[in-house]
Amino acid sequence: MNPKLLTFALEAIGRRGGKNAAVGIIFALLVALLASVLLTSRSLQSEVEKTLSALPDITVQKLQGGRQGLIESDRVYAIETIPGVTWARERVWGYYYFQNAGVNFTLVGLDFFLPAYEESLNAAIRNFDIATWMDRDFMIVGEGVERTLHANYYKEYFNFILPDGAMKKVELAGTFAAGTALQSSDTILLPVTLARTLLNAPEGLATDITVAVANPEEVAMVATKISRLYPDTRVITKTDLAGSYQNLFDYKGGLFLSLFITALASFFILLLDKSGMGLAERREIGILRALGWRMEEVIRLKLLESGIVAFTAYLLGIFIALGYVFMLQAPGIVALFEGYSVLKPAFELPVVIDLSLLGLIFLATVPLYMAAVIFPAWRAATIDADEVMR
Amino acid sequence: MIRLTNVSKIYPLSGADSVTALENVSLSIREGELVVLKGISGSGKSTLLALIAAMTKPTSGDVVVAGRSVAKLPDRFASDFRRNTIGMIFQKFNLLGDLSAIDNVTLPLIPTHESASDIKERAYRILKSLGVKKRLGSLAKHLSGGEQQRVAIARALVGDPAIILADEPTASLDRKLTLDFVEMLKTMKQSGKTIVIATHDPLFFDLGIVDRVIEIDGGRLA
Amino acid sequence: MSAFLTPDTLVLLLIEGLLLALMAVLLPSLWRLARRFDIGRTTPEQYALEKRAYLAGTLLRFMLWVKIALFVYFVYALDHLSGVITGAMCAAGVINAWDYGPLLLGWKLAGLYLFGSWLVLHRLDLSRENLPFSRLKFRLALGLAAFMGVEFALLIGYLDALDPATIVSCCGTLFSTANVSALGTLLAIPKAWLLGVFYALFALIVASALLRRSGLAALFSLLFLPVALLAIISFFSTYVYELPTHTCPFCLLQKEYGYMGYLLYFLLFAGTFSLLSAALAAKLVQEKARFALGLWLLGGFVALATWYPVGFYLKNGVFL
Ligand SMILES: Nc1ncnc2c1ncn2[C@@H]1O[C@H](COP(=O)(O)OP(=O)(O)OP(=O)(O)O)[C@@H](O)[C@H]1O
Ligand SMILES: [Mg+2]
Repeated sequence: MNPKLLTFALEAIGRRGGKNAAVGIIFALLVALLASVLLTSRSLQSEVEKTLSALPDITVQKLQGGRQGLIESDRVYAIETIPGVTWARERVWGYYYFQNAGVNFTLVGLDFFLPAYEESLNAAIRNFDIATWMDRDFMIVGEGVERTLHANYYKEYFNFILPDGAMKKVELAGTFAAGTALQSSDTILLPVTLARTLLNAPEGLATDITVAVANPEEVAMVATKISRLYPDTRVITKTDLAGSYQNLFDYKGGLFLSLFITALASFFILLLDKSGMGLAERREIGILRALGWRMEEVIRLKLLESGIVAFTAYLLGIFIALGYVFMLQAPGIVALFEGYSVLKPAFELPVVIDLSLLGLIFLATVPLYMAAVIFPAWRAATIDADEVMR
Repeated sequence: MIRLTNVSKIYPLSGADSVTALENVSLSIREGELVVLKGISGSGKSTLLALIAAMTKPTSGDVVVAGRSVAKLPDRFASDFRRNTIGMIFQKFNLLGDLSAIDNVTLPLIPTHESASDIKERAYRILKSLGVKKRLGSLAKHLSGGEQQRVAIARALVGDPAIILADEPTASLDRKLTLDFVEMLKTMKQSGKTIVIATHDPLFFDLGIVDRVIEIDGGRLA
Repeated sequence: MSAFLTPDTLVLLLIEGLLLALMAVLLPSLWRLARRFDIGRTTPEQYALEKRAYLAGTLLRFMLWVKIALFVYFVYALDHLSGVITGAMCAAGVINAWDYGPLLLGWKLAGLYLFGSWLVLHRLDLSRENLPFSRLKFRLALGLAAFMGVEFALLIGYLDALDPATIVSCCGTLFSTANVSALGTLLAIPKAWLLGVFYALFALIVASALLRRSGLAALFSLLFLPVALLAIISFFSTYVYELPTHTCPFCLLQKEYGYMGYLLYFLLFAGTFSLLSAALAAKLVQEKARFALGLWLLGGFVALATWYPVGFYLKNGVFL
């Protein structure tokens, strides 16, 4: 690359600053839009992967009138007799809406004497001394919950409002650091009896039942057996979820990308139509040609100019997207992937920036831009050198 | 140095019409000669210069400049030839108004492999020798007519060409600046350059330094 | 669901489609240039054609370079898809998910050499005042357009046939000697033989290049390419994986092996291409062939490939 030509191209961009800035900003915004969607999707995907890996092999939910209801705890025993099942356990969990702060907490009931159904929960309470808290109403909260409570002047306890309107004072016994999303910073761990009170789940009923199967090959078979045994349940396997989420992300990302590309292409066709070379630019090129610039040198100059604009705009777009997705939490875009909210309502998008994604965004945008400038560049470069003599 | 043999140039117009800008022109110009091309507007002077500079190609005939047949060169070679052998001065100067004086002068050499500081240095030397010492960094559009003219001449000279072609160089200059230009012509001639000036300014027709006046009329040599 | 809608494959389709569209736009120009371009004429038509020729030349050069770069992305995308397609451990399984997948890959590989040769011809053409190869190069460009059309059809067919649900074979079965295919038979060639031919051909290339026998150098380079690929599959790759039974040309592209496959294949393809094109250029314009770059690249390839078994021996005191 000839450094003089590069300098000249940079100066030329500056001389037509208005036009270049306009095109560059539109292009940057388009890149930002695409990058925001793909970054959000990739971020959600990594969150889902983490969440899924922590998920039980099979989850059994009871359906009542098409919606999820409470399930009988004693079904655990029947399920455990199915060959291949390692264990089955009831779970008591749900959401609590904290009106003052406008946030949802996830309440998870735990039997603090038994190993929990999830390794990560065990990790959260490993350093917790249960003996001092026996027979008291206590909770262990994620960092996000602690922050919210402190902001609302709750330092040592919190007053839950029960379904019947009464207050329930629960002491804050400790905090844990967020690991995975399921047990993320909005989670509150409570003794299971307390959770039942708060969630209005009577003894003998549970939110759902989780099942562990030793051999992954047998999961599908066990799932079929469970749904035969209890036709009123929905049986969800981990692979179902993994597959459907993978497809969801690829599909939605892909769908969006194709729409986006169509939009981008039409933008450039419009650009191509409107932005032939201005008169001043034509004259400038004629002069260069008369002074001994080759056609290829003029084309190189023009491609360099647009390449610099495109690349700068691309970088700008990526930065805008990073800010939008990871600092502002991608308002509006998360909704595109709303299928996710069933699994998990509120959480922070984890920062996942992978280079191949940035490369992909580059490939999906910049070549279109370059293709759109080649024809005007050629038309300009083949201006007859003797035109400036007339 | 320059030899045209039976050169014709026909510009096609829309439909079957066409304009014959030059018809069967043969002429030859020796090295170091200063020749004035005289002719009324539309007689084909600019076309002749453009052919010598390999900016356009003849419809028939051959153009040999500095030992090379430039009539059929593909663009890459024609452009290099123009950059290395020809210095052009235009009627309207054709400076880029938004570039500084010095940047206008270095313009032809930007795609070459010479370093930026080398060509700046050269441009500076030439501008100084032409009497432009101040305002080298001002935008060309803010320069006076005389300064613009000198910048345009400096740009023609910066590649150290053997041939200088000037197309009505004084048409937009007043008397004093025209005389200045004649002075500069003298210096160029002394440095051994072959010079062709297309003009209808009578001042040039009986100037001491002019070796020959070639008259052109309706595309033919008179 | 077909694999059409993953972002990777979409981008691939987008750019390939864009290039094909540009090619289609160029076709009428190419056709006229191939038939009517004549630098000796001075007609307005010829002037117009000369401008067209610049456009076509510039665009083709741009497009072919993009095509060459896109090959790397194609390979990367295949490798990436192996995570989605059941049973595929690397690009080998992915490319074999369609019967004509290997054809597509071979087509693309052949494309590298064709596109590169065209670029060399283009450069030679522009470097002469009389543009001696202009007509030839535009005729060939018409051929390239057809070539790209077939390639795009193959790509569409391939992506359409890809189905994450079908189970494909992994490289272990595809490249085993037990495989009853032409490849299986070739892989059954004794390694000592294969390596003998491999190093002998390399020596012949070096010798003929140094002796400036460009025809011979080209011939040996052409022979060297398949032999080198076979040698990578059945011998050198096992030392990269440090596993005598793991014979696969694709796993080399993965992160576990430091992406070294990209370097290895680059050296092999660029090296053989450079030698071939130097010979071609020498033939066309009767000048001394420039073999140095090709020899360095190919030497680098042989050195890198050889390093793996040698390094293994130095570390472990035995060969696999
Ligand atoms: N590109 C073109 N297309 C069509 N006709 C042209 C073109 N260039 C020049 N002509 C015609 O060729 C003839 C000669 O033009 P040319 O510019 O050489 O004359 P000139 O002597 O330089 O005139 P002037 O003194 O006005 O500059 C004119 O009739 C002009 O209209
Ligand atoms: Mg004129």
